[in-house]
Amino acid sequence: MKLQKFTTMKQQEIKYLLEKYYSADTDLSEEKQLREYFLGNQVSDDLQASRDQFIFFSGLAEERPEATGLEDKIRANLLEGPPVVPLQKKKSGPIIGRIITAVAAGFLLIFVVKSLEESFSSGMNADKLTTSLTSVSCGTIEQCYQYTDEALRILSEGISPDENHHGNRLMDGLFSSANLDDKAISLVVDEEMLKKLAELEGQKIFQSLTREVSSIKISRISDKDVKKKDEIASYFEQVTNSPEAHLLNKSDAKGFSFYVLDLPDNEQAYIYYHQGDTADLLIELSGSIDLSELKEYSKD
Amino acid sequence: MSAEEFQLEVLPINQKLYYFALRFLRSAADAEDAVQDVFVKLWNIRDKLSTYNSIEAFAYTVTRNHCLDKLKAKRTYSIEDTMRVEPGQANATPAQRTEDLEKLALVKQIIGELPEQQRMVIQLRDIDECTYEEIAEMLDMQLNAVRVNLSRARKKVRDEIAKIYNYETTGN
Repeated sequence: MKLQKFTTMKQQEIKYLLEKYYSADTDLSEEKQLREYFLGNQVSDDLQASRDQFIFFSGLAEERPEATGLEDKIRANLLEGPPVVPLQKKKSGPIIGRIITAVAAGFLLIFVVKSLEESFSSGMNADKLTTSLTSVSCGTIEQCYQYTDEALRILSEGISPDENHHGNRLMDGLFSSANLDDKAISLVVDEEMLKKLAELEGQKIFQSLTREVSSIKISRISDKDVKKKDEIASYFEQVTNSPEAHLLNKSDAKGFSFYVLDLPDNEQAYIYYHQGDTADLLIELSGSIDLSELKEYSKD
Repeated sequence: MSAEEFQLEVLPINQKLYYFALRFLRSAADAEDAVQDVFVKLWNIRDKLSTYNSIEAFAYTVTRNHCLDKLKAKRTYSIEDTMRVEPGQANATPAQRTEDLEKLALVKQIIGELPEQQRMVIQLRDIDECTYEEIAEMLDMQLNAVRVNLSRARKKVRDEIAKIYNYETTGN
């Protein structure tokens, strides 16, 4: 009886560690623990694939080819060999490379800001604001990167990770929802947030983004319309609790958090942010980018 | 930096650079060549090396660029080089060994077919046991991007194994 209890506890622990492992949240010692467990134990069917995975990763590690004598070769080559040829200059610097990589990797973030509701109770002119935000293009890649960064920084201000929430409420005035029908993700901002966004750098930040299969939007919601906020929150909750979509919420001591949404058809969306001196919030949607399909958010 | 300092501070990282290059080039011989070339480059600028915050990080960058150039030059590199199946545990029965070898080849194939970034990240982590920070440095990626790619790659490998052997999964 005791043994059984112990086994169950161990299995619980392994399952917990596995969950961390698949969220890329384990440290090396926890991964070692998992590896040792799987090498020494039979497991239930639902863990069999994970067991194979661990066993064969360690198999792959063992057969990693050794570079025997490489150090001696290098030493001989450099210190005793013929004079070495001068280094050729690299064409592109690391920063440009980084930007291009970032863009190529699909970190192109473009926002559509558009009215979610007909009525807009504050004195601000909704149409004017919307126009001014959507009509701006971002110029060079570097500028685009910079502006996006700045927008995300602003967005991430005030984010306070709350373990009781499942990602519906990212921060005060900023909500996120996913629409499984058109594979779209929306960020919904309240008026306060929208004003903050609008004040940025002469309002030149926002561009629109739509990918072939996914889109990302920033939409406005009236600050006073609590019901709407709740609707969105519960919709997001519902979506992320559905069997087709899986939401992963993680955070660690460094204030790093991210959410992963598994959408149907193997699509995934990530919302992740980091709080600190260089706070940023990145939203990535998988799927290929199709800029020809740019479209604005349309009212339901 | 003197030749002596170079030997003490830079030369020891050759093994790390070798495994790193191996992940790109997928061939032991090519990786060795690449690391030797990288060391020639580092040697040539040894006077400036001490101005870098981290020589190791700089060496990764040089290695990465060098490997990418090599890959560009040789677009049709073969994954077969690292797909050779080596004998498994000696004490296993022949039947077990055959099955293990099959699975080992299968896992290699699954990893080989992952998208480039995911493949690099999962190999550097789950085979080479690098820390998240090292991987971010090596691949010039943000830490969170490393985690995202790793999470996807690990799930993908598990799901592929489960699919082929008809295991049930927890699905997280």
